[in-house]
Amino acid sequence: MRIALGELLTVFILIIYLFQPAVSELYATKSYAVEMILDRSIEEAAVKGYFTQEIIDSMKSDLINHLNYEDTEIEIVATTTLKYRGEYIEATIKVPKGPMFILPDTFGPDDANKSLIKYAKQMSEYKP
Amino acid sequence: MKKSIIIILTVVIFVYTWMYQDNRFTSRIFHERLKNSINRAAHDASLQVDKTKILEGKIVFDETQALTVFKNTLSANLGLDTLLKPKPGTLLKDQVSIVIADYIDENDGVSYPYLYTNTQYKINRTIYGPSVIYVIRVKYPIFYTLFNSTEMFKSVIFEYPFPI
Repeated sequence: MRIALGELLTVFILIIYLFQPAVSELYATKSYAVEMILDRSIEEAAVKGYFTQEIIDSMKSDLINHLNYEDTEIEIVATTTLKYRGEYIEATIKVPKGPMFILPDTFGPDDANKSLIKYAKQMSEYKP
Repeated sequence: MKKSIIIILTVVIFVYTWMYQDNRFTSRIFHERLKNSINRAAHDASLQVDKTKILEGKIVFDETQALTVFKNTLSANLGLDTLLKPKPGTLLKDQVSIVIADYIDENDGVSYPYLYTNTQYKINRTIYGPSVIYVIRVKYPIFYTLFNSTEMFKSVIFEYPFPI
């Protein structure tokens, strides 16, 4: 019994020891990628004066193709009305966070925000 | 006894490595967000020009308005309040300060391309038009007190986005 408990604890610790760094790295890279997609898109939108449907579709396409999100999981709220030079445009991307710990809810329920949220705001450059 | 010591040491090393990796991940996100935020803020500041001079075909920055807009956009993107202090629940933990706010425009009488240098903050960049230059001082956010937080300076040079 004692040996069995010891083996069980060893397996538990080994799982965390071996796989947790990879899970953390995966989450970090995903977060970084979403930030980059948002940054590239707002620069494009600043020139046009608003987030066109093409820009929003491009953001969704990158999230689906490169980060394996489903279309229904992605929530993008962006300025879609034309803003002239000096007026603010902004955008928020909200996607599921995914697992941050290899053994979720092991040490109690995970009440943290389940979404990865990125926000950007800058002025439009558009001149008619 | 020997096994217990080995297990304890292994767990300690693992926990320390995990904390180091968490700090490294936070640092990577922090660098990326800081760079994006300061770029957006400088972009917005570069749009603040004296409209009367524009009619004469000259680009002259409204320096007061540019600094205000820089602070507003930086605050919106980094989650800061009006005093550039981080709001609760955001990535940064210490106040951000602007150490340099410089403007190169028609008032300076320079010809382009122009080599802008600042030896104190190691800035050497050729600019091809009127530009705003900002340097901010921030502290690395850390979440484990085992690691020391250090200050860093982030600079940005942004040219006026034509057309006039």
